[in-house]
Amino acid sequence: MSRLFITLLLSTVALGCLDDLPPAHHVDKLRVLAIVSEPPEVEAGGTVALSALVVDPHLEDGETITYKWRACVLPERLAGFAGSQGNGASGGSGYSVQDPGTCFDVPDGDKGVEDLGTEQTASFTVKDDFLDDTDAILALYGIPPNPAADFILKQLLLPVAGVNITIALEVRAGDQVLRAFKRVNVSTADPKNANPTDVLFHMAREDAGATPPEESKPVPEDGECFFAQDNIGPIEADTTYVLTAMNIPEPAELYPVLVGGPAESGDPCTPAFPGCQMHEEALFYSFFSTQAGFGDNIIKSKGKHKVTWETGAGPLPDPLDVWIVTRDGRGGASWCHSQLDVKN
Amino acid sequence: MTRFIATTAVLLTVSPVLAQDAQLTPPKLTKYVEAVVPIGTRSRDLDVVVLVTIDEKGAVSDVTIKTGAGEPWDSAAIAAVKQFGFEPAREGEKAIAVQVPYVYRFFSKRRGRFVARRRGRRALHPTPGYRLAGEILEKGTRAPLVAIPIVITDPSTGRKVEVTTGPDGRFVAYGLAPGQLELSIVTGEHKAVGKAVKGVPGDPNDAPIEPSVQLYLDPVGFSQYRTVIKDKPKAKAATEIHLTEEELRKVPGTFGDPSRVPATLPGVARSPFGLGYYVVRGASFENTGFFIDGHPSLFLYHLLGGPGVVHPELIGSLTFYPGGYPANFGRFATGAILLDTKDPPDDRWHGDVSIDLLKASALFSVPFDEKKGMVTAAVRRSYYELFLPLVAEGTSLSYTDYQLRVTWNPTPQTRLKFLALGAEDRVGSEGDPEEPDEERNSDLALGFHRLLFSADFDVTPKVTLENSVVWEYDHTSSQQTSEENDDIDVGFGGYFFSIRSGAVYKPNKRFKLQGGLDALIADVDADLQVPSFPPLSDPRPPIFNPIIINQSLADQFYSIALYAAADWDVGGGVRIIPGVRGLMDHYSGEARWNADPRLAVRWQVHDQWTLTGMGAIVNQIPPGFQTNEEFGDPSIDPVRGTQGSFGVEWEPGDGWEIKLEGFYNFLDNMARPSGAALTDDGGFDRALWTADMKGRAYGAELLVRKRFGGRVHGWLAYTLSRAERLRPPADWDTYEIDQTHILNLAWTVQLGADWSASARFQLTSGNPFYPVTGSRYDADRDRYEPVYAEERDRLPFFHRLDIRIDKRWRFDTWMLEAYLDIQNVYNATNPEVQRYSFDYSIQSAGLSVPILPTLGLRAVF
Repeated sequence: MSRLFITLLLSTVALGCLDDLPPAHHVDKLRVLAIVSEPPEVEAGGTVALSALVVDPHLEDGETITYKWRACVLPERLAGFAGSQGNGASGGSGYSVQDPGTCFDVPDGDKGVEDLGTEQTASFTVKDDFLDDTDAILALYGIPPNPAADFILKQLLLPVAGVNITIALEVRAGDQVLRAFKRVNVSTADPKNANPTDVLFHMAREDAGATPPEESKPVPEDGECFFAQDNIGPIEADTTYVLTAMNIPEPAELYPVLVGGPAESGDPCTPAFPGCQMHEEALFYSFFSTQAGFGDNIIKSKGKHKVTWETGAGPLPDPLDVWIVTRDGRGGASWCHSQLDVKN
Repeated sequence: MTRFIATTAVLLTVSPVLAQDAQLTPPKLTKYVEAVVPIGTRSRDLDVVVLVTIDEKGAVSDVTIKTGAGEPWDSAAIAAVKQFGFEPAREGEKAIAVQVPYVYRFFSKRRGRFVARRRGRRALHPTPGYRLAGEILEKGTRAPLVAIPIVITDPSTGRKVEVTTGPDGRFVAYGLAPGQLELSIVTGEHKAVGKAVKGVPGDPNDAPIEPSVQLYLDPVGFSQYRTVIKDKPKAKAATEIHLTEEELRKVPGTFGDPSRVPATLPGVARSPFGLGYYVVRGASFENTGFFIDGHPSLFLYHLLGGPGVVHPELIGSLTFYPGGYPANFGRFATGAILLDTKDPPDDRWHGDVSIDLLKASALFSVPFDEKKGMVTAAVRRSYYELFLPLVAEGTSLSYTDYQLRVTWNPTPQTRLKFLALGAEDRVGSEGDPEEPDEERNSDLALGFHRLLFSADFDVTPKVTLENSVVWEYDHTSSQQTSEENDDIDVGFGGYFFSIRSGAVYKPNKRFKLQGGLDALIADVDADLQVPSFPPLSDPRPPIFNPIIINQSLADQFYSIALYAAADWDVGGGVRIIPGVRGLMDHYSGEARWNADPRLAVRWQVHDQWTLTGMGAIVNQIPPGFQTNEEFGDPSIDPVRGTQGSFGVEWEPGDGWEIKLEGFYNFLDNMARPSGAALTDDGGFDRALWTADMKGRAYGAELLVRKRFGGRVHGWLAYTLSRAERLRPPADWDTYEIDQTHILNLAWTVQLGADWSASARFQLTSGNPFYPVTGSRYDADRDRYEPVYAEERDRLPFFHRLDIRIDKRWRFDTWMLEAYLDIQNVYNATNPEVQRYSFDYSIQSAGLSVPILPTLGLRAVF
């Protein structure tokens, strides 16, 4: 007999327990589902337009959502190996890092923050000299001074990695308060990243066995998520649907990343520095709905790129909202929203 | 005074438990003294059972009444037994003190005289007539029973002839009458036996005859536990906990696995989910070493917290040093756990087959060369794969281990041993049950194969040479494939040599000096196709999306230590145990020279009281993955442990001992993950490790122990401690596995009739953690990041009761054993971690090990 049995039991127990907690894709209160910076990367002196997907299905008539934007102009500390941003959802260890800089706890008027207004959208302009203080940026990277550091900074770190500025958003609805943040990357890269476009989904009943067309299709101009010819009719309870991502870029875009390690032959990073690699971009699709039942909260463009949705027992919310947020894993994002008819 | 003749005495009926241990030789009676009772005392047939303590010289140091017959018989028996002389009991070649029961039997005057165990009696007094040869064995074990009194009665005349069995359990009675006789055996510790027998013509001058009678005596009461090792092997350090095989096998919650017992001892923190990581005196688990027959072992358990890799029946003893372990061992910055293998009993062949819900095992042993040698083979195999798919579709798991042990002592001065052991484990999963058409496989396999050869020679009675060498091959491979991600493939393979060669010089009983060489040579190769760091500045992807890098590496290191240690009884009850190791650790192309000094002092201030103290410095070579040029930092120095302790021991008698000890442990040069950016090579890289962490722990340990023997045995261990880590630039903070209070109670009660019940109760402080007070939504990762409280909290106290019931059924030639082990009897909820909803707005009870009953069967032949 062994502890393995315990491990297996724990797994079973764990699965059972996890079912008791609400899934992240189920929207039943005030939620920030996305923050988009247009563009996601800028050079020093550049301006980004900021918008947020904020929803609250239980918002009463007359209630409004208030917004408060801030920029943490002191750059965010960068991610470290052990996951300085990667606090596990289990908690428990308690030895992760500090609040990653939403800067709402910084007193008003502090020179490290810049208020960006209280509108639904905002804009932010990076200072022209943001990247000029190389000593400060090296310190930010945690790189000790050395003769080659300044050269590496200008030739490799700033063009490939850049520096992140944290944009913070605080939203309120009634007594609900949420704080969220995203990074705006400031770099000397050329070209820079852009937000995902042409995101489209095909939805079909699982029992219908419908498969999406292989060729790309135009995205509806009204911001809808689904292929116009799906024609699946009203959403029904106790039914399983399959949502498949379409218009996946083929081939995927390649972009340079700094991951460390030795230089590999044929490394296309320009210039070819050790530690720089070309990485294939993936898209990550996050699903949200006022009705739970998605098999995965997030899928990506590689592999199956589809998700099942078991609508469960009725009655279903009417109308039924579905939001899909697409991220590219390096700061770019976009979203779509569909309001589906239901048959209860 | 009237001399009453003690017409016979039931001599030492050697414990089957003792007899089964080939390393133990029971004491032998060499001088018998008859009891004297006052004039006028009426002669009677009665027994006085006394407990005799026999020291290392064979002298009787103490006699107490176990089961008296009243006065004046009790006093007479005590007075007589105190004058007995013995050849001392031995553990291996070493004389040890023991406590044994002795049945002093008084017979009435009408009986004839019989002097037990008088050597050569047969030759001196040849008796013509009929004779009878027989063999007396213990029921179940078939162990020969020594010095069993046999009474053969002629029913027609009432004449009795009495003999006792020899070392092989055999007897021959001469001068018997023809015809049917009555054989009876009454020992007081076995069920009485009566049997009709017939002799055959012959006398002592005739050729020996084979036994015509074979009887199996069934132990009664607690007689199977009647021999106690009074003195543990002399402690080799200030703090040493030595557990024998009997104490190791029935601790509830360990499933009879001796290698898990240290988790119940003082100074050892509870590991989550009982995975068996030994966090000793606030150190990290890798700072405590595990040695099998004196050589370090990388693999302690099978995969996923499975059982230990050595068959329990091959484990002879386990010695635990929470700190300041002897200088002939090293390379671990805090503690050491020594596991010594043993031979099964050498009286004949033996077999051992056991099964439980998840695995089966078999062991077979046979002596050779007139019992100078022994071959033992064992194998275990799990059968998880039979039912695991029922629980987790597509999942497979298996483990196998084997041991082959050959010992041979061609001369009394030469001891040779060969041990081969190994294990192969595999766990894998295929497909996604939710998406049967999707390819997603993972596979993890690991194993080791070890060969040990040792040769010990007694060059002179005062000098022993001890030599042993181990070669071990280890491998680990892990593959993970899926449609969504690039393949991950990790493969490690390598070997190490461990060589020990030393001499022990013991000119007298008060001084011992030993020294020698302890060398370790390792060569590891790895092919890695692994995820890299997250790209600099990029947010981590919302779900796993690794950037795969390929790397091959080869790492060699060697470590050579010369050690010297002494054990000096300076008089006045003071023992000084100094030691030093001179180390040369060569890794990453550079040699590091260090010295590990140690000093332990034991001062017996009173017969029952001993003060202990210890100071030690131990260097531990960092693992290769931390110092490899490609993946680590070659400049990392060995971890240095600096330890000290002071304690007091009280042994009030009857196998009880109480120890109280305060300790301090400081660890320097501890490596931790770094991730710091580097630009050293004209590009970008990450530092994986930085050795800037320090650790410290201090506290007190209490052990209340009743040694094995008698009706109860077990221990209560309590540790009060504080463990901290310093991770610059932060200040000292509580270690993640700091547990202020650690209490373990492990107790076994012999219920009689081969029933025993054991219980283990654990009560430990919960691990510290920072509660989550809120969260922030990371819009780049679609993930909430928790916000922690500034002040730490602790998980609730962990408390759990495990029980175990053992039952043995004895048949003449074999035994069947069954056990029921129930973990967490009252199904306590002990969350190991906190659980939160996706946005940390809901906190729920964490995972907990539920009640878990297990049933096992074992047949011993």
